[in-house]
Amino acid sequence: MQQKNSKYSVILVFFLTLVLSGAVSAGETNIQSGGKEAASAPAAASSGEAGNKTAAKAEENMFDPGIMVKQNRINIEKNADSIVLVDFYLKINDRGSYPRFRNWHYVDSLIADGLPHQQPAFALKKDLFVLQDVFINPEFLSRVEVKFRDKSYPAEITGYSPSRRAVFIRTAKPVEGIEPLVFKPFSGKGKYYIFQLRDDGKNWTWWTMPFSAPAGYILSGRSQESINSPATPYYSNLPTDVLIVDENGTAAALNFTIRLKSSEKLDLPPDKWPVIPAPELAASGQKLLKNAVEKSLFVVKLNFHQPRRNPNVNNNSNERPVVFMESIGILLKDGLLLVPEELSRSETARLDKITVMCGSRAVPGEFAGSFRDFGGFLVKLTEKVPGVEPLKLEKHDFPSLIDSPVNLLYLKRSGEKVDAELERNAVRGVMLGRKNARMATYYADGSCIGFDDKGRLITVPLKIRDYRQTRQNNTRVHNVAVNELLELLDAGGKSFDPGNVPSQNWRRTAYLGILYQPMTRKMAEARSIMQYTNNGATGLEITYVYPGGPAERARLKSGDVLLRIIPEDGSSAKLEMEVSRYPVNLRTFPWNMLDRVPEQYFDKIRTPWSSEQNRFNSDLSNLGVGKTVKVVYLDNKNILKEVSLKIEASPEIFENAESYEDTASGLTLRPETFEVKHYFRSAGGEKSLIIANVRPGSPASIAGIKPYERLISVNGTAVGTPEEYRKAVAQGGELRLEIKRLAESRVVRLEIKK
Amino acid sequence: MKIYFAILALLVSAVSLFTGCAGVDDVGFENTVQQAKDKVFPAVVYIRVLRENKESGKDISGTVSGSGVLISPDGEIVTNWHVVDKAINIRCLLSDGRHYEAELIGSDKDIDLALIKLKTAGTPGLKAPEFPFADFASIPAKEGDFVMAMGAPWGLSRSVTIGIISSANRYLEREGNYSLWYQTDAAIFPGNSGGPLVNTRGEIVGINTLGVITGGMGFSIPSPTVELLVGRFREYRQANWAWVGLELQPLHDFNRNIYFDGDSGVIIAGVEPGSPAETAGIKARDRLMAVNGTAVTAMTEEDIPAVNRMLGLLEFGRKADLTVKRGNEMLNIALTPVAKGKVEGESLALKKWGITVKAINRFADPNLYYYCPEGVFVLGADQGNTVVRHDGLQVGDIILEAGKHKIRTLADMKKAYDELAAASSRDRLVIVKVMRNGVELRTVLDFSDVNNQ
Repeated sequence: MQQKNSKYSVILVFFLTLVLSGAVSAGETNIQSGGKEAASAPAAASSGEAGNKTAAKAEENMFDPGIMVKQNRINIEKNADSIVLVDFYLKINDRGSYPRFRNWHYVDSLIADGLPHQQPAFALKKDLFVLQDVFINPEFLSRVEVKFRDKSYPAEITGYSPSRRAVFIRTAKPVEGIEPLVFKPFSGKGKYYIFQLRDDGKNWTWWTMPFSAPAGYILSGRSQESINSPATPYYSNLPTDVLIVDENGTAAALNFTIRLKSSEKLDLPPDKWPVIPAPELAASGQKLLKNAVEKSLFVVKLNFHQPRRNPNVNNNSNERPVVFMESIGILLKDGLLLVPEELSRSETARLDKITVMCGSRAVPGEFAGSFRDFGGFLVKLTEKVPGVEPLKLEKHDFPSLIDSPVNLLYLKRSGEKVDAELERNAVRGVMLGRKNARMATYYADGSCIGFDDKGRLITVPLKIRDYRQTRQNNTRVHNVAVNELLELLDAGGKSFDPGNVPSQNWRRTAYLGILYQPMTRKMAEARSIMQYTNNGATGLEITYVYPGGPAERARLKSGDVLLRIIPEDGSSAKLEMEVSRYPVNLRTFPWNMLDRVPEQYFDKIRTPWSSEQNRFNSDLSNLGVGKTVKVVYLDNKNILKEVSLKIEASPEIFENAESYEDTASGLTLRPETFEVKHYFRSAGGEKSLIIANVRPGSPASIAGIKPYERLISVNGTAVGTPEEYRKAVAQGGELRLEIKRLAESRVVRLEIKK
Repeated sequence: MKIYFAILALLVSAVSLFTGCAGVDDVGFENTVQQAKDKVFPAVVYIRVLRENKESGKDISGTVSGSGVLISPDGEIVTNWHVVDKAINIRCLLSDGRHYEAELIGSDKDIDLALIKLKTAGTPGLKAPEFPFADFASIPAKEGDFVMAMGAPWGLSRSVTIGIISSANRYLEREGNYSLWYQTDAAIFPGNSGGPLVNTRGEIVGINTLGVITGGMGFSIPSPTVELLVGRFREYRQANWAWVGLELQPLHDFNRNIYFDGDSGVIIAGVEPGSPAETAGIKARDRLMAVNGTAVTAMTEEDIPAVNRMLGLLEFGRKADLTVKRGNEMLNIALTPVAKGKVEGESLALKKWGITVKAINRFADPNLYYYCPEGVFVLGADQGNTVVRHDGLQVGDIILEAGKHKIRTLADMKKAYDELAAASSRDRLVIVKVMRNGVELRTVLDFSDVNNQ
């Protein structure tokens, strides 16, 4: 549009001289292919993008929106043919993760509707464009298209310039009608404007705004977010995603980043920006990922003792307290792993065993301290493991990290191994959180480990402890700065909570070593023991005595009716064996219906045996392991008797036995603990593992293996512990498993890739 | 001219006459069917059985009817086991109206076959009656052969349905798999169960046994199997299968998606505990190569029944030589099969208590046998019984003790019941110890209403 004529230019110059700093901008719609249509409307909006706010107020009333409109038209005329829109079509990656560069709703609605994420890009050549890097990881891209004048051109990402927050794309064919930008550096004279294509939610519109000082840019030594003075000065609050033009609309500079080191020149032409080719950047990212996952990140298994249940709390029997947890540990130094799990004091007190899975080796770990202010604790490896490397821990100048490129590692646990995804990103901000913890935020959400572009650790994901809240509130995970972590480690014992330790004298769960059934009125009548049992309201009749248990040693027998248990030192109240308090499930396990259960309900099938995690055992534990108690009971001949016995700690039970989840086959195996062995009448010498769960859709499920079947042997080798199983399947390939369901056995074939 | 037309007309009409009866073959086929039917119909027998039914807790009798076929002039009839099972009284009605009672010669649950014989001991001096009978086919049937399923569903009149052999090697997943089946689309329904499947030559090719409710598919026991078993019934009064305790799996098990190398042998999937195979030292995953020198192979599941049959026909008590491959080694293992014996325990109705109990049998109740090799379990409970209350005693419970009596066998149970249920018994509440789901429990039976009956 040739709108210029001398009359207008005079007025323009007149008004421009009155302008010192801008508080008014004008926008005009751009009708481009892929863009949206709307009427042009000058809008008076005050933006804080140009820094000098005090000046803005004074000049506001001197400013004529009309000037901005005119400048906008000049800019459009000069540059509209150099600016395109780029469509990024997103997809979910092979692992089923969503792109992380924006919140899930944004991303999911684009993928669901098949719509692209759009951004403006600037032409450097007829087939080369540069745009702001919003950190879309290539594995989430299904295709990229450049849109110009109603035409689409397929394009590819060729390189990145992380320091400039830019990404370069190249179209397969030159774009018709495109005018590559020609840059003229700052002259030091005249006015400059920032010119950009903005999405206001409905349309893409052209915006022009004044650009601060004629000389160019603001020099600042400190941002309001920094905690200390940064080591190197930098420019802050720069306008992003903009073309900086002079009064004639000629491009002077292109900028995508909020902050720039003062050693860099703002008006360095984009073709001179340092570029890292896309494959190289991806490769270095993958190298970092591989290194970290193989050498520094390990699955940590935590076994807990069974908790005692508070008898005064109304227990929901569906909630089972945690007796087993798996997490990911980060190897820091000196054989110390950081496990970023927030364990409460009572949970840590119950901590029984820590096992670190280093490759195929299960290394025992020692608890080394839980942080007072953060939700994490340290584990020391008790053995020297070859081939592991701690992450490099160095102090960083956090304020200078702002807007600098980083690599984020998102972790997932895959059976016994750590699985991770890498995302390029940048530090958005640095701040002091609660308890003055130094933390960083990124342009991506989610719990991740942050590394700088040289592969050094910068943040770890930790929760900050809040002792006011109950455990139900999910506190957010923060990216805690490595500086903070170093101070915690250096402080040694001072940073730990002395009350958050595994308990040596922990009152472990007790057991008596019996199976019982509750008394009924009829039974009390039949046995003529009505007066002893409160007409059938109290009394637990022993139905089985486990060999080697305290009940056997106390000569209790099947048929004896327990009436009450009294601590001999009188420290706690006696325990009445009230029938309503100790219900027992008397139903049969439907073995013949097992084949009909759909696989998605596998983890809902209750165990065929009655669990040892029951109220009777927890009441017994409340009396205290090691305590001597008097058991009052009726023997088989209905004679009232008493016996003294010491409450013993329970041996391993199914719920807290070591579990092994084999991701390759989909089987979760546990050793057969005493109550399981009794249920299956498994003799002492026989080796077998109980299949605790089968993952739906896994090779084991397809082969017809169901939960609570037993694994007898693999390729002829009997397996009795998860370690033996692991060794037997280490080779992978074709496995012949001997599976037993109660009486019936069969050979099942699994194909495992290794 | 007209003459030519006349001759032409004559010729044309003559041709049309011939084409009109284009069923030269049709008529022939119809005749064949009629002949075959006429040959066998007289041998088809209507069987009516009074059987004891103890399952629902009461000792009631019911009537079951089915069909059978005479196979010898002196009145031997072949029918299904499920027709004459637990029979108190068997009566047969022949096609010519004569009626006789029959006695059970032998039966086998695994094959579902039975041999009964008409009781013709009548007035001495009179000549023994002769009966029409049918022969077994000399050549086994094959797919596509026309067959007729005959039976006597409701009495005097016989019925015949026609179809073809849909499959001559049908494998059905059942316990006791000693034979394959003929599948046919000739309608087989409860009425003609036990009746013969007849080919176009009027010979018996099978005994109709199973039908599908929707129709279109029925299964018959092939005649070679029937002949084998009839011989054994005559000799031993039962099939007299030997038992070795091997669970077999074919080399190419498509259903379980597991394939083994090689083209000979049969895979041993499991060895039953306490069996001769376990005693002989055979292990799961071994490959059975030969029995007494005869090579055995099961490539697909259709081959499994033949191997089972070979093992089932071994003489018990006599050492059999099994060649077994374990890994890369060939082993010779001596195994002494035992008699399979009963495949089902006997039952006993405890009338006053309203329950029926049955002896545990390792073949019929493997999951109960696992926990209690010798015992008695609750088979059924009467709906209106007053003794067994909610959760007191459940179907499937193994009764271990009743009052002071320890229960191991059905005789023990009878003795305990007789004592406890006697009108003179003063025990109103009896404590019973049962095993349920592998767990021992005690429950109380309340006889207060019962002993007065």
